[in-house]
Amino acid sequence: MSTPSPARADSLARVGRLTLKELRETLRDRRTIVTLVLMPLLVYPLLSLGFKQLLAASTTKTDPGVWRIGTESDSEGSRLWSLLLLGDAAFREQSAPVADQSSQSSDLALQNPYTVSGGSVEEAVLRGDIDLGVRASRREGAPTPNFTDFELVYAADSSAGPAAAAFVIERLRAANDRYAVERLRQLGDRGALPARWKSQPIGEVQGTHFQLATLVPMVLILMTITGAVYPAIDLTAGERERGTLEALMAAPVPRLGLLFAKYIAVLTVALLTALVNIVGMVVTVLGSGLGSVLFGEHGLTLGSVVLVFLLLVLFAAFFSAVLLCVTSFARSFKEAQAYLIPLMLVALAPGFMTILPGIQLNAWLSVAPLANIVLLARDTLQGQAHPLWGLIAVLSTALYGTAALGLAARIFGSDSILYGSQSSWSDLFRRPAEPLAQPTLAGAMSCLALVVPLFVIASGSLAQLANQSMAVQLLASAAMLVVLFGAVPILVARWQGISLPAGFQLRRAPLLGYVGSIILGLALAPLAYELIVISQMLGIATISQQELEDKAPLVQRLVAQWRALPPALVLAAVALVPAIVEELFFRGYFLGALRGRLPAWLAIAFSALVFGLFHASVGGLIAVERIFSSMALGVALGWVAWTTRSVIPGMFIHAVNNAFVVSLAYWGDGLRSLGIDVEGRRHLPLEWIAGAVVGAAVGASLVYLGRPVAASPPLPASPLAVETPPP
Amino acid sequence: MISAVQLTKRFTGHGPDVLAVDRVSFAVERGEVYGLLGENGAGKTTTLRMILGLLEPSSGYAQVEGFRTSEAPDEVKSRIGLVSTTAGLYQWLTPREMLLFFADLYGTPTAVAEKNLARLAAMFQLHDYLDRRCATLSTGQKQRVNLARSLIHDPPVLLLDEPTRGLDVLGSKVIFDFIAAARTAGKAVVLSTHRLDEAERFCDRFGLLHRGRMMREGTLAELQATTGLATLTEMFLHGLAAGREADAA
Repeated sequence: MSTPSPARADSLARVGRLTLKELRETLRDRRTIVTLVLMPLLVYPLLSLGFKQLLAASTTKTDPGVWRIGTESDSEGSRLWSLLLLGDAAFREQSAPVADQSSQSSDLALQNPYTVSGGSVEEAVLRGDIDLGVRASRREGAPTPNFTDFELVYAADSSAGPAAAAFVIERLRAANDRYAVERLRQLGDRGALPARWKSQPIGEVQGTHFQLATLVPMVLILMTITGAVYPAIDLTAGERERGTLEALMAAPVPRLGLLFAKYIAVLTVALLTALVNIVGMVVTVLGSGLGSVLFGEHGLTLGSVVLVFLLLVLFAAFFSAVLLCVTSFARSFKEAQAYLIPLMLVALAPGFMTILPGIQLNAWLSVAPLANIVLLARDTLQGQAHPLWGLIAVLSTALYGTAALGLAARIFGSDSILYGSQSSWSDLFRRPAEPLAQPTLAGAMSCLALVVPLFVIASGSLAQLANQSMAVQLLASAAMLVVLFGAVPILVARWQGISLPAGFQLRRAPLLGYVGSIILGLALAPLAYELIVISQMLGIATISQQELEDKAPLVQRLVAQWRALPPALVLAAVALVPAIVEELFFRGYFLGALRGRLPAWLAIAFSALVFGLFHASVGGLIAVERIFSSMALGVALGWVAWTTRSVIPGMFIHAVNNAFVVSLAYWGDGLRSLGIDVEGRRHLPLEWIAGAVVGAAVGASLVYLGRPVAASPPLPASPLAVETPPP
Repeated sequence: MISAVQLTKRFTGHGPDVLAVDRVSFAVERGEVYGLLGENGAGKTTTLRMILGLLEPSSGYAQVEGFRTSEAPDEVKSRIGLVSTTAGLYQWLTPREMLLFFADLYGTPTAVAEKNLARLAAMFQLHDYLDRRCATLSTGQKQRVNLARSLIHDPPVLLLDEPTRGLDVLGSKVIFDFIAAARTAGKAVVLSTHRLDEAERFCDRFGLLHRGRMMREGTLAELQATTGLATLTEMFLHGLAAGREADAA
């Protein structure tokens, strides 16, 4: 009799095989294949027909060259034509831009009216032979035979008819005006009229193709969602309904492993759907010749297609997690569908809004799920993506996806879902019966997914305070940080019954830890500065010298305003408060949630990555060089928090580092004389760097030597079953 | 080999709390078939799910081969084969694919899994449909595949939850043969059923559950001696009547 105990080392490979089984089962189902292949084959050709029809309709409305105007006799036609030519010249003279003198020559785009064959113009209009019928009759008692009464006839339900009539009336009115001016001149008047005008169109022409261009990523995203919906339901609620979920849960595989395999399977099907759809879209666009109409003069480029596919990968990763989260809660296929329909409607509403003309990616929309990816994909296809909003859109989507996966992990296969005990959606947000020993992964990721977008929006809103004094602006910014990175996670933790010392590592550290961290902070600040300069020298930078120079007046104005304030206020608002609340959040709450669930190096690296990306933006620009330096600082801060099991030493390091940056601005002139000049991209003196390296080594040694020796309370068992001894 | 100690499960939610299992204790040894008996809703399935680790006990604990479910769930799960009435099959997989998939989940090496598969295919006569899609199998064939699934990793413990529900005479016979073979192989078996006549024929010891509580426990002879009644059915009905009188009082 063999009783194999599954080896932990094999668990990842087993999750891989589990994923393959899920995929095999899903892809054997014909319904998946229909969504995957047949839908794109149908949708894109139909869509291209629709686009062409729409373009044809809009062209008919605006282009006189395609209107069909008819008269009942040749003489009526020639009378109309001669007056139209005269009126058109006058009209252009009145309304054409001053600079565009060439257009004042008569080059009427209207086709010469033709004589309808048999019957009246009314009959010809109703038959659809012409868009506009014109009847011209000589006016009784007129001084000359040139005086004519025109009657314009068009179909009330036509779009071309009224437009053609308006066009003709404009020209006839202009001809009348010219005649009146001539008559006045003949009567001795100089022909001066009280009002003259000229029109000056400015900016780019906003044609219909801009809205149509938004439709393409929207459809791609819709199709990707469609591909993921069925497997998400089938692999969760469907499996429960068929009675296979219980057997699966009875196997010695961690619940998170089972969920992860299902997630990868759903994501793979979503990506296959996205790929097939991208291919379908590209083939259709190339075949129909709509490329330049939809995506501008360069048409569809390989680079933009690849980028859009990568965006679809991200979106699929996000939405697959959301779908699994929702369907994990359902106890049957039908229940899952009932949940998904409202979710889809809610999710798609902002996406459809993006089709409206003039909608651009901004602070708000860059954190709006789905809408952000639709707009970013549109801008990418048109080669106009904004780097900062694009990065925020990508990061926020990644965050939402991770948070959704965390929630799914919390509910997938739980008692209430597996056996339908009394429960509801509110259970997901119910306060735990027992206080938790540390923040949950799902809680930390959800908190991050909440706080970061709010930070983007709040930062944008703070710009409204530009007219207020600098003191008000600084205090508002500090208050915003306190609320978002302090109050929000503390409230979440309190709701989960997590104590501040346990949840935020807010506990006293050994004395050596404090001494070491102050030395470390003093040493790391110039090293972080040097890292920025080295990155810039190596060309690993996204802010150019030109951009630095462009921003210089703004920075100088800001610094001048800072200098008008007491240094203590500036240091408190810009250095101290961010240091305290960011440490509380990133090293306390976030890293605390990873402790015991990831190996130490991975947990520290992950929290440092999040911290680095959070600091990606400087003055509305993306600064890669700043990401590197912040990540390096994040690694050091993470290590200190992990080693001392306290966030307080990290607060010292962070505050010293922030104070160093503030000092560069506040006392920049004096520091430049000491060789510190970040704007000038100058290296620190070598002896400074050597001193900083020695200082960092001494500080780190003290922190390590002063680490707590008492055994820590045991942590809860990890769903990933990874043991992480402290470093 | 299996022991349940003061196992209790209270379901809490928006409505009133439900005490599904109330301090149930019993033990099953190697080569023994234990009948967990009771009417529908008595708490049999909940008890089995707590032993397996699918439900977390409100208090008490279960242990399999020295491993507590709450402390080493994977160790416990890897030692148990579960047969449930409600268990389904993967419609788009063949029985061979499904059995090997579950063997893999339980960490059984491929060569051992192949050997186990051949043995179980012979035991349950699966050869004719081993490579047909599960969706095309009859009810009886599906039942055999499910039994094979529970044994593919050759577990020392078997939990059978109402295994004969909805089966005809032939289908039930397959189950009875399966239980007899498991006892011979030295496995510890817990059979949950409300079919008392069946249990009387196949189980070595019995636990009678009523409203989540263990009413009586022991071998048939022990129970007969304590109650003075001849059959499990009589004992059960007598217990029910006593319970009603107690409720009324």
